[in-house]
Amino acid sequence: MTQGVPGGAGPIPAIAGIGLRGPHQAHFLHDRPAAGWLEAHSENYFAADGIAAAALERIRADYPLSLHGVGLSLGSVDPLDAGHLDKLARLVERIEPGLVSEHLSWGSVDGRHLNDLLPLPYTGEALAHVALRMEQVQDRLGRQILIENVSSYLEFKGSTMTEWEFLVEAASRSGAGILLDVNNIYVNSKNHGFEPDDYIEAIPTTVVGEIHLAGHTVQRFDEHEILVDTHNALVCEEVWNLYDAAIARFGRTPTLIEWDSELPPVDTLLAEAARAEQVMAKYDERAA
Amino acid sequence: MKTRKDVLITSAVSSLLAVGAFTLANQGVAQDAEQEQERCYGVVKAGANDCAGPGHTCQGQATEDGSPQEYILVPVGTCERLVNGSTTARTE
Amino acid sequence: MNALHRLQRDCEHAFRGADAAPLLPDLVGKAIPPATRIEVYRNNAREICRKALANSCPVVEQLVGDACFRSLAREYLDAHPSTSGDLQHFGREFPAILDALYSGSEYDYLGDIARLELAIEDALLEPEAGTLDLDALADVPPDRLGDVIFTQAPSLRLVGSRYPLLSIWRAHQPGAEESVDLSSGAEYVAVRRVGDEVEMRLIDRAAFILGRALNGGGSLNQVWDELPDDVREVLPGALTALSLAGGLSHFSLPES
Repeated sequence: MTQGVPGGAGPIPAIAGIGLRGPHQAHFLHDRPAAGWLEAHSENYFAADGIAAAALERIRADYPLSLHGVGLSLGSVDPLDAGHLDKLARLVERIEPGLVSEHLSWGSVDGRHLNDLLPLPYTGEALAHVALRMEQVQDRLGRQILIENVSSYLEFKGSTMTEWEFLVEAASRSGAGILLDVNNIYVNSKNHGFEPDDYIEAIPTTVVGEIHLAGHTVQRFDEHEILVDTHNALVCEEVWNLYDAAIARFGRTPTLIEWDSELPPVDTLLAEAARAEQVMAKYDERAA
Repeated sequence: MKTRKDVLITSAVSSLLAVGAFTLANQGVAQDAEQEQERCYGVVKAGANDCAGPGHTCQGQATEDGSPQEYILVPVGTCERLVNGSTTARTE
Repeated sequence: MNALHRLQRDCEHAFRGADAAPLLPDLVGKAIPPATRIEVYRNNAREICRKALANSCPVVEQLVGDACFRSLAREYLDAHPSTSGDLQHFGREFPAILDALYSGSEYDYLGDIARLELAIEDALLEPEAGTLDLDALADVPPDRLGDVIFTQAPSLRLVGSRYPLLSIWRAHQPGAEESVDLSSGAEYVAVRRVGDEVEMRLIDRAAFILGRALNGGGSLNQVWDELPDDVREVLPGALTALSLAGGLSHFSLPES
């Protein structure tokens, strides 16, 4: 199984794709390298008249495209930012992405933003709040969104359920799908001490619409090691193994290679995508 | 009776029109590319929100827990390549 | 205030570097101490701020160096907490921070460099301009020319400095290594979007002052009244230069 070729607009195929980042944009516009599909950060294209949005529209003509939001702050108690949501809705209308995703996290309180993807306490209160907001976003966009599990570096004592129970229930109550970030599961399993396989096995087989893979960094704070989701490296072997388990459970799923910092050439990302394809192909054969 | 203002405004628009054809003919073409003009970025500019993507980064930035941060507000980069700064430029 | 709101507020305080004590009892302490875990988020907050500013102002970062830029980013984070989930305009107060720290010092020019870099970013987000309809302009009766109102390209940003602004910027692009003589005089730059790129052109002081005045939306007669005498004297050259730099995209003539 090889990478797809630029096939034009359409739904996100169940193959591997890569993240679209500014420094690679001209390459995709002019050279059209073969990539299964692309995913862009929604907020970077909010200026409707700007250069980036026009470029995205052109790229959209050549590649299946997904929009991935980083700033909506679904879990905040602050009111949903209507302006932000309007811009997202206009972008979705214009680009007609194959998938739209957001994070199961919060980022602002009392109007002040940390622009980070911060973890929620896994409580009934937080669950009811975030599920309602996911519904509101889906109503505004007129379509289903996918909700992504985030990396976290701390846990709240007040939590009354596991992270995976919280994720599954938030998706179930709102009708959203799940964007399962396998690297984030691994990072959290190390940071909080759980079995990553337990997480994957708790996710219903029908709700996962997309999988993310990325690299992380093992960081030392004093004598302690914490895994930080830095998106600046190759996917590690442990995460590849976990991805194997995920594909074994969920079957062929659109899979994205994410890389944000210290961006390598597109070919490095495509090589990672090719490896994800190999994993999926292995299970194609078993299913056949 | 034409005032100086009228004369200069009329002359300004006439001048604009006179070079206008030249301007239009050269739309999008580099003029005096050596010195006068610079093009940059465009679609290759990194999106502001890529930094804030689900990962951002802090590799190698670990600090001692709770220790006061050292503040370095004296530039120590390439400012030294800018010569004759403090004396002449400010006296304009 | 409900429990979730209180928890988020305590997190925000702690992650910004303020007192973490209210948050500590809420955190699980196994294996890695809560204070260490908070430090990861503090670090993230600083790094997100630093990277956003560096993305907007890479030349300032080179000029001041890594360590100083980190400190500047921390100053910025304290003074101007982000108010949006979209970081696109996060750095808009950075020139003011640099002015406050370095105005009057040998690093006086840093604020102007940041203004130029933010102008470039702004221009990326604006539509491309139309071109001035010269045939229509030629048809305006001579006695009505003073009533003409010029509109500037939406992406046009005029940045001026008593320092050689564009020369400094250019000396910090990849591959450039030359020195810049800060005493070589003022530079005025017209920044605007052209196609898929941003173009910068040097203009003279008169064109710069005229452009700023035209930005107020007044007619040529009204703009005239705002101009200093030395600029009035060279109005034909200034208007032409501004037009050549792509500074004028439309004109209108109100009914008489």
